[in-house]
Amino acid sequence: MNVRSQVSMVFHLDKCIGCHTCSLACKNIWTDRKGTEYMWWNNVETKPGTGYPALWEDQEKFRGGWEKKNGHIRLRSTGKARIVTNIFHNPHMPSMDDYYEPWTYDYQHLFNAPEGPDQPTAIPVSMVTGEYLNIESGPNWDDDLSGSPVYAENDPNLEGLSEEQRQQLFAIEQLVFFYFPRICNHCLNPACVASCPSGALYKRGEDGIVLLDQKRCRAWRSCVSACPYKKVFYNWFTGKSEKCILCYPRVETGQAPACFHSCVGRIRYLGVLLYDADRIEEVSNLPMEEMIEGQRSLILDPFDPHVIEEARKNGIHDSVIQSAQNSPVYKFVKVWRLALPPHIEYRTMPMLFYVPPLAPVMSTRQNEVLNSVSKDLFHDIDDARVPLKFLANLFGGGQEGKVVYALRKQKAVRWYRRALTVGDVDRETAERMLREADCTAEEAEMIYQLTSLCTFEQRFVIPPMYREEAIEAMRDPLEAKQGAGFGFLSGPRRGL
Amino acid sequence: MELWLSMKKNQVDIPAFKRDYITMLNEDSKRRNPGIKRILPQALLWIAAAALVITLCPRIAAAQETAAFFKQNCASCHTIGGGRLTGPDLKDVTKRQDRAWLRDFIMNPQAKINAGDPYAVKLHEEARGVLMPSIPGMTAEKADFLLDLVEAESALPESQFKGLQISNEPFTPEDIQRGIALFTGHQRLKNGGPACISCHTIPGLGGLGGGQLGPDLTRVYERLQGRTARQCMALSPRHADHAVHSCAMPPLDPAEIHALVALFEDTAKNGRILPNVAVLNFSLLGLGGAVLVLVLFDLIWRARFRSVRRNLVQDNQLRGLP
Amino acid sequence: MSNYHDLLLFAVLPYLSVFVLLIVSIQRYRAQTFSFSSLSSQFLENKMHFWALVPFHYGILTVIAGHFVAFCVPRSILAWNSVPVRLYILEVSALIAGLLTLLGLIHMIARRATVSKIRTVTSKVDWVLFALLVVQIVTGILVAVLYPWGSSWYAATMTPYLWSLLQFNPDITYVSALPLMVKLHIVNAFIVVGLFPFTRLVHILVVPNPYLWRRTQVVRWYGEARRAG
Repeated sequence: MNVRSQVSMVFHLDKCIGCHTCSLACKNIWTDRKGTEYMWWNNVETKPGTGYPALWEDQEKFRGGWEKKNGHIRLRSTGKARIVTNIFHNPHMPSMDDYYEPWTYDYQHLFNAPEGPDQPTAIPVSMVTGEYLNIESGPNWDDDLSGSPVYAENDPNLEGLSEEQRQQLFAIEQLVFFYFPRICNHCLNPACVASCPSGALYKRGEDGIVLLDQKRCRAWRSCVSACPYKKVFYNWFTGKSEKCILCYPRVETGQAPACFHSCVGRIRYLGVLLYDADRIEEVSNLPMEEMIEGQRSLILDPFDPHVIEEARKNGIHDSVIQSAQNSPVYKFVKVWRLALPPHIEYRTMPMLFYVPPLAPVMSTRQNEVLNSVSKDLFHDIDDARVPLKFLANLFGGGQEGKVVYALRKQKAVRWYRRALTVGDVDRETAERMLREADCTAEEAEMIYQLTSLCTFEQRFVIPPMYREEAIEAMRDPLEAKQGAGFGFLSGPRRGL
Repeated sequence: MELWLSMKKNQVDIPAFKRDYITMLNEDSKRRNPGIKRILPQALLWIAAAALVITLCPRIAAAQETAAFFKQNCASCHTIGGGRLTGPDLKDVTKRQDRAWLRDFIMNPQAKINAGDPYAVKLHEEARGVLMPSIPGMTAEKADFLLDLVEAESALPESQFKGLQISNEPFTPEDIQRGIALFTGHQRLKNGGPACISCHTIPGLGGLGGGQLGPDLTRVYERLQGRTARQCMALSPRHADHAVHSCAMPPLDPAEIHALVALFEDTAKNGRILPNVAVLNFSLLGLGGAVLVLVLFDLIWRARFRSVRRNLVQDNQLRGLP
Repeated sequence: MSNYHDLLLFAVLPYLSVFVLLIVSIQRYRAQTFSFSSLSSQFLENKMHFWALVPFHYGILTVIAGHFVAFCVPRSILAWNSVPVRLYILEVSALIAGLLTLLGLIHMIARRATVSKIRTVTSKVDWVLFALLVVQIVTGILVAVLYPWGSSWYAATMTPYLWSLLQFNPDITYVSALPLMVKLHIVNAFIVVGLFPFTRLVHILVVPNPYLWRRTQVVRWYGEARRAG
C-alpha cells in the first residue's frame, strides 16, 4: 500500500443553477491575459449539448484519454512511438475554430461614428488579430439548449438512446436540460501528464493537483489532444499550454478555489481523499463495467488504523489525515456512493465527482390524473425526462446501475425529509423508500445536512499548509512587483 | 539535449509548487520581445572575446611551408627532373633564366606574355596556349622561397617533385573496360577518393549521366593530347584541365591512369556527343518523387483532425430549417 | 583579396557562429528558459499547417541527416555510390527531400503572410529566418541540380574541410575554389548557425528525447524527494 492524499471535488448537479459565476471568478483571476482569452478553465455546459469545445466527448474525433488494446491501456492520441512522427503536426489537435475566436467590441465607434441615418453600433473586434470579426461561436454557445437541433441533438451521450427516446427528449413540451459545470478533474492517471514529451505536466505528490511547468513546456501540444476532457488549453501567444491549477495558491492558504468560493448554488465540495497509488495502474486496466467500483476501491478509509499508519509512513501529516476524515468528498463518493466520476471510460480516473441530477419530478400524469405516489416508488426515475441511459453514458461508463443507485437514494432522502417536515408522505412509506434505496435514517439526515444546510467549513475541508515550508509566501509581494519574481531571472516573455 | 542544457538538474531552492505560481503572477500580456535585449550585452561580450581569440590563433593563417605550397600549387603542372607536364620541367630553371625575371613571371605570368617578352611567349606556345594561372596570395618573398626550393631540389640527384613515371604501352580493350569501371566507381580508386563520375561526365554513361562539378571529359583526350593527360593525372587530377577547382584527390595510381586514358582515347575516337538531358531528368525525378511523398503524407495522416465545430454547424443547420 | 574573404568566410565565420551558438544558447537557457518553445501556431490554423510543417520538417531532417552521415562516413557513401544506379537513387532521394523542404517552406511563408491570425504571432526575426532558410534551401537544390553528384564530391571537399575545422586547423583550399553557389550554401549555413540562438530555432535544442525512456506519469514532491513514481 502506498498511501497518498489528493484534494478532490464533488459537484452536486441538482443544485447547479447555471449562473456561470464560477466561470467568471476563474476568468477574472487566471485567464484574463493575452493568449488566454478563449480559455475557460471552469465552464458550465448545458446537457444535452455539445459542450466546449464542441463535441469534446466524441473521442473518435478528439482522440483523448486512454484506450485498452491487447489487455493494456495506451494513449489514444499520442503513443510514445507516435510522438516522434506526430510532433510537427499534431493530427488530433483542435484549432481555435473549434473553440471560438475571442472578441471585444469597438466601443469607440459609439462615440466616433460619423453622423448617419443609423444608430452606431459597437462592432465586434477579434482579440487575436484586432480585425473586425463575424462571431460564429462562443464559450457557451448552446447554453440553455439554444440551437438545439445543431448542438443538443448531437450530444455524444445520446448514443444508445432509441429514436423514440430522442424524439421525446426534444419534443417541445418535454424539453429538459441540466447544467454540467466542469473544471480539470486532476485525474489519478492523467493522460495529459503521460503525453507530455517534455515532462512539463506533473501531478503534485502531496495534494494531487495536476500542474503544468511553464518553464518546461515546449508547445509540443500533445496534452491538448490527450486530455479527454479538453481541459488543457494552448496559449497561442506565449507558446505554452495552461490548465486549471485548482487555485493552489488559495488552497495552500486555506481558501477554497475561486470557482468553489463563488458558487452561488453551493454545489461544490472540496476535501481530501487518501488513495492507494500502487493500484492506479491495475485499476486503470480494469474492464469498463468494473471501473467505477475499482476507483472507489482505490480510495482508502481514513479511519482505518492500518491506512493511517501507512499514510504517516509516507509523510502525510496528521492534519491532512484529519482533513480526510472530515472530507465531504469521502462521504459523497465512498460512504454514500452518491457521487460518480464523469466518463470513467476514458480511464484517466478523474478525481472530480458528480452527484447526478434528479431532475425533480414530483408527480407523473397518467390518464389525466396526477399521481404523486405509486406502488413502485421509484418509477419516475426510470421514466424521467432525462433518460437514464443518457446519465449512464455521462456518469456510469454506460452502466445504469450506479446512476440508478445514486438517484434512488437521493429521492429516498427527499421523501424522508418530506415525511418529517411537510407531512404529505407517511413515515412508513418514507422509511420503506430508504430501505429500498440502501439508506438509513441517520444517513439520510447526514445527506440532507450536507446537501442543504452545509456551511462553508463543511463544504470545503482544506488541510492547513505547512507555513514553515512556504518561505516565499511570507515575503512582501510588492517587493517583486514589476520585477523578476522569485524564481525567474526575468519575467516570462514570449520567445523569438 | 534538454538535460544537457539544464546543467543543474533540479533547482531545489525554489519548490516546484511555487514556481508555477510565480509564472502565473508574472504573466504579462504586453507584447514585448525583450529576450534578445537581455541576452545581447553578454552575448556581444562573448562574441568579442571569441573574435579576438580567433584572430590571434596563429594556426589559422599559418604560413604554409614552401614545399607544401609547391606541392599544392605548382606540382600539378611542373616536375623537377621528371620531364614536361603542362608546364616545363623546372630542374635547373634558375640556370636557364634570370632570377628576377622568374620572380616577375611567377607573380604575374599574364603580364609578361602580354608585354611580348619573347621567352614568355615561347613558354606559352610550348604549353599549347595553356596559361599559367597566377597563384592567389603570391608575393615576391614567396616567389623567392619557391625559387630557392627549386634550386635546392635541382641539386639533389632525385627530387621529391620528380613526379610519377607511367607506362607508354599501347591500350588494350581490357584497359578500356577497366577505365569504365574506374570512371563509374565499380572499381574503387586506390587512393580511396570519389570516382570520376562524381564530378565528371562522358557520353555513354546512361542513366542520369555523370557529375557537373568538374568539366565534361568528352573531349579531354583531344584537348590534352593523350600523353599529357596521363602526366597530369599522374600527379593529381586537380588542375588537370586548368579548370580552377580544387579537390582533395590524392594522386592516382599509374595503372589507373593508364586505364582511364585508354577510356578517354576510346571516347574521343568512338564517342558521340549526346544531348545532355540528365539535369532535366534528374529534376523531374526529384519533383515527381516529392509529389509522391506528399501524397503519401496525405494518406498516412488521412484521419487527421480538420474541423469539428464548423462541420457540426454546417451539417445540421440545414436540417433544422423547415 | 578574394583569399582574404575566403579566410574570413570559411575559417573565421564558422568558429564565430558556433561560438555564438553555444554561448548565447546556454545563456538564453539559463536566463530565459521560458522563451524556449516551438511556438507552435497549429492552434490558430491547422489546415495549411499540415502541408507546411510536415513536408518541411521531414525534408530538412532527411537533408541534415544526409549531410551529417556524409561527413561521418564518407567512405561508406562512396562505396554505396560505386554503382551508378545506387548513386542515382541516393541523389534523387536527397533531391526529393530538398524539394519537400522547399515546398514546406513556401507553404510556411504563404501561411504566415496570408492568415491574419498567424501574422499576429509572427515576429521580424521570423522573417529574417525565413529569408535565410530560403537562400539555404534554394542554393542547396541548385547545387544538387547544377553540380551533381554532391554525395560523392562531398567526400573529397566538404568532409576534409569540416574535419579541418574540427581540428582547429582550417584548410580553406578545399572550398575556396568551389563554385559560387556551393560557397553561398556553406556561408549561409554558418550564418544560420550563428543566428540560431536568437530565433525560434532554439526549439531544436529542447527536442523531447527523454520522453522515450521516462516513466509514463510524472509526480513532483514539494519537500524532500520521496520518489515513488
